[in-house]
Amino acid sequence: MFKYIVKRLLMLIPVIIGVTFIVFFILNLSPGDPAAIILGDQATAEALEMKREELGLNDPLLVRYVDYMVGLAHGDLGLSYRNSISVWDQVIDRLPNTALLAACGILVALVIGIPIGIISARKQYSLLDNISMVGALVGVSMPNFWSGLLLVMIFSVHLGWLPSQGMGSGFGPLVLSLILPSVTLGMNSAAMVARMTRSSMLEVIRQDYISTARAKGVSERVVTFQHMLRNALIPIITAVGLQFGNLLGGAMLAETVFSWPGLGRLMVENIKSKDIPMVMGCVVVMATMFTLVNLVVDIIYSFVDPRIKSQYKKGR
Amino acid sequence: MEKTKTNTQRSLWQDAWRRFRKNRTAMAGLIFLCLLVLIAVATVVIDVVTQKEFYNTYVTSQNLVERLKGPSLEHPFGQDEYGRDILMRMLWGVRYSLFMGGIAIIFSLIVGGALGALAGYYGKVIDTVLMRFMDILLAIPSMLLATAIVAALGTSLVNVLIAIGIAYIPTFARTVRASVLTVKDQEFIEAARSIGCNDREIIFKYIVPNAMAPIIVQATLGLAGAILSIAGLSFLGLGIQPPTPEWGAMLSNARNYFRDAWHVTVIPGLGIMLTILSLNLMGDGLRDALDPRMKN
Amino acid sequence: MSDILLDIRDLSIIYATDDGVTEALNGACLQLRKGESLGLVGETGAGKTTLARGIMRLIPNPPGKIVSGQVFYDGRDIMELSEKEMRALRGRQISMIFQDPMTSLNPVMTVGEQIREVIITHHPNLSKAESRKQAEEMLEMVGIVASRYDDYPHQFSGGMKQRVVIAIALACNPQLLIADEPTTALDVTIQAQVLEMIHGLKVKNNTAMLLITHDLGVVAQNCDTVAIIYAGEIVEYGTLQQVYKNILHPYTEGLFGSVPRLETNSKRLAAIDGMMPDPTALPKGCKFAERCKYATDRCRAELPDMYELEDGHKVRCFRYEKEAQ
Repeated sequence: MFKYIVKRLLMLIPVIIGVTFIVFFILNLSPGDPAAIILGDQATAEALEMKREELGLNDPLLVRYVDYMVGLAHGDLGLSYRNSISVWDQVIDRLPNTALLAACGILVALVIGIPIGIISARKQYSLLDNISMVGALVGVSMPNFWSGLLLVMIFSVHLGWLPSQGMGSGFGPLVLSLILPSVTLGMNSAAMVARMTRSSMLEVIRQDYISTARAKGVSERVVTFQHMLRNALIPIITAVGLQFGNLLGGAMLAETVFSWPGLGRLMVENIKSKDIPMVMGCVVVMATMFTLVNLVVDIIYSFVDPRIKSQYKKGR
Repeated sequence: MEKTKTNTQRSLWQDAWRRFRKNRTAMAGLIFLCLLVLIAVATVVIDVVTQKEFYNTYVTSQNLVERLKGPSLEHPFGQDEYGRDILMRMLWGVRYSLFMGGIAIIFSLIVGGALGALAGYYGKVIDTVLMRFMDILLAIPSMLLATAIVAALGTSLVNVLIAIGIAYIPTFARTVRASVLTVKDQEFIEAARSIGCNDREIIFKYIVPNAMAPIIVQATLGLAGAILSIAGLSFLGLGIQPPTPEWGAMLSNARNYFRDAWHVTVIPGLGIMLTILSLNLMGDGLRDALDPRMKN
Repeated sequence: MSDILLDIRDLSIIYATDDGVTEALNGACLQLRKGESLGLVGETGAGKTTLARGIMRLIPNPPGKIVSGQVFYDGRDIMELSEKEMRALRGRQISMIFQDPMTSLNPVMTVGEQIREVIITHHPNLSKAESRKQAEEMLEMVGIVASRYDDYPHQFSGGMKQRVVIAIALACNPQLLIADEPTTALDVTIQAQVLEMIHGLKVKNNTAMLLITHDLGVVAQNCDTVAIIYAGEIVEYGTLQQVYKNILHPYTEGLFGSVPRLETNSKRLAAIDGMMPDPTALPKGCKFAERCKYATDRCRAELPDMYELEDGHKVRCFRYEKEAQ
């Protein structure tokens, strides 16, 4: 198992190299001249040329990419065009905030989504099932930047219960300030997970081994959790892993709505100011996060499904 | 119960349509979408016929005296921060969501579909190279990828289209490859090959029609995603810019006023939600109709 | 009469789906004595599995529903029991072996745990070690070494899986075993082994068995009485001797005609013409009338009763109406 994890971690390296290459390539298509952005409109042609040379912009793309990767390996993502601070420092500063928000979002998705999915599947075609599934469909369809605004309207403006902006300091305020953003961020995923759980459970409910379990005389509770849910879990875990990607994309929007000091907001701000190294740093870090989460998902699989685990053993 | 039927393509699609029609929610989604398409076409026609006069008079003209006024008989959806009629702006905004989403998805469907079919059909090196590349693209969440592309190219309508189009390529490539792979090894392909069909005939006569169902479903759901992404980018100020009445951009403006007037926030969001909802309903209905085995 | 273990009276089960109502089982009456084996024979879709699940009250609902009838088990009507009482019966008194061993084991549980689960459910006072020991004994009993307790189903072959399923079914020494085509999904060579094993264990514990199959040969080897089922109705019912030596119902005749025989030198097997009627639109009269060479207008209009001949041999066919009286 340990060997497998190490192997998978090593396999991440080409993925991250690929991701950075694509992002690097895309962002360097940018028509703006970084030197002009840094020095402003009044800069002379010579000053611009000097700046370009200093930034290495005159080198071919591939050389610059290799330079960037060498820097990345040393924890150096370059300097911000705007204020020449280390991109790495800024990104690392914001990373925990986004990670926290995303984790809470996933938590919301699981805590709401899985029970609803289970109940819906167990009571298929009942009123409860219909209501839940309509709710889930509406939930999937709500743009999170809109539901965020609605939540702020209700819980901050009208009821005054929860803060609408920023991240609280200290445990209590932090938790309070996390509620609305995580619900906003997790809601789409919760709806997705509920739908996935339901269909996956329904798939399992018809299996023969459920009949076998019932024929043993075990209680419905055991049938539901021990036999159905454990088998239904694999597609659910996949869905949750993929949802994490949506969540990171959604984090940009939710962080903007709630002025949450995370990577997403950092990225959006810097797109507007054309600060390419900053944007690049944000994308690379978020994509790496997503890749790592998918690795974790793969590892969780092997604990849930013995068939996958024995494949590993063979592979070793 | 399986009923014996002649298994021609036509009856397959007719069967699917019959099942789809029975699904009331999916039909509701379809009808709402048709309505949206009608609105989009009608507003474009009005713009062309009146040479944007109507647009300038009713959609973008400001009336600062009546700014942020709630819904009234004269303005059923109320007025925005410049006193513009929100109903008109909503109607004129349909095209951005629908047509732009549609174009982006068609683009990614063609490119992604072609790549996926190549990978699936020829396998080996082509498959490995293409799919590794797609895996890498998939490692970047699509909204993030789209944002990065817009960041590089700048915010314009075409760039948003390109960004979203590219962001959805890997999804389609995967879907198409998977269905090609399942169809490829079926015996009827073997049979077609044995009677002397060449690759092109096999791909277009046998594989494409048989891989169609998952692609259609994926396209419907992809369109929903694309519309959401367009609105999201515009909301962030990275997509379509005000005063264009795009729904996401309208919401972005509304953020500054929602403490004073609920309708400026609620209505554009509702528009996006209903559009996405109807697409999702349709997607679910299509999936059930096209693949009855998957129906629960 | 006290040795009658199972007494099914007039059991009817329907499935209500979007495509219409399927009458899967219509007025079935069967009896089974302690330790006795009853073979239930019919084509795919005739309602055999429905009947078996009906006895267990494991009809998936929706779409299935038991509309009428009684099932007396040891003198008690199962249909009147609470769900909790029913659970106490399942696995303990009545066990079931399902058709396909490949899918009837939970893929994410070790086989040992799956056997232990039925033991601990019905003997909750046992310690973990004790129940594990019993489960290991069951494994040994069906011919699997106890060291494979912690293996998962995917590590077993089909025949081995069916042995595990049998171990689960017999772990609590039930009075009644319902075996739903226990060998259909297995290789021919394994089939005989599995049947022999079931038979041995059954004799050892004096377990009664309802053996569902479409294989008349299997019935001949394993059963004391036979019921033939067609389109949801029992059409012929009697002892093995009666049914095999004195075929009454035209459908049974057809069934036997489709079995290859060594003693006759026929070139082709006689197949029954036509197909089983669409279960959502069953004919009003005799369900077999359309395929029956003896059919009369009356057969098509009116459903024949179950006529009992003098020796207790029962048949659902007008041709024996007079004889029965």
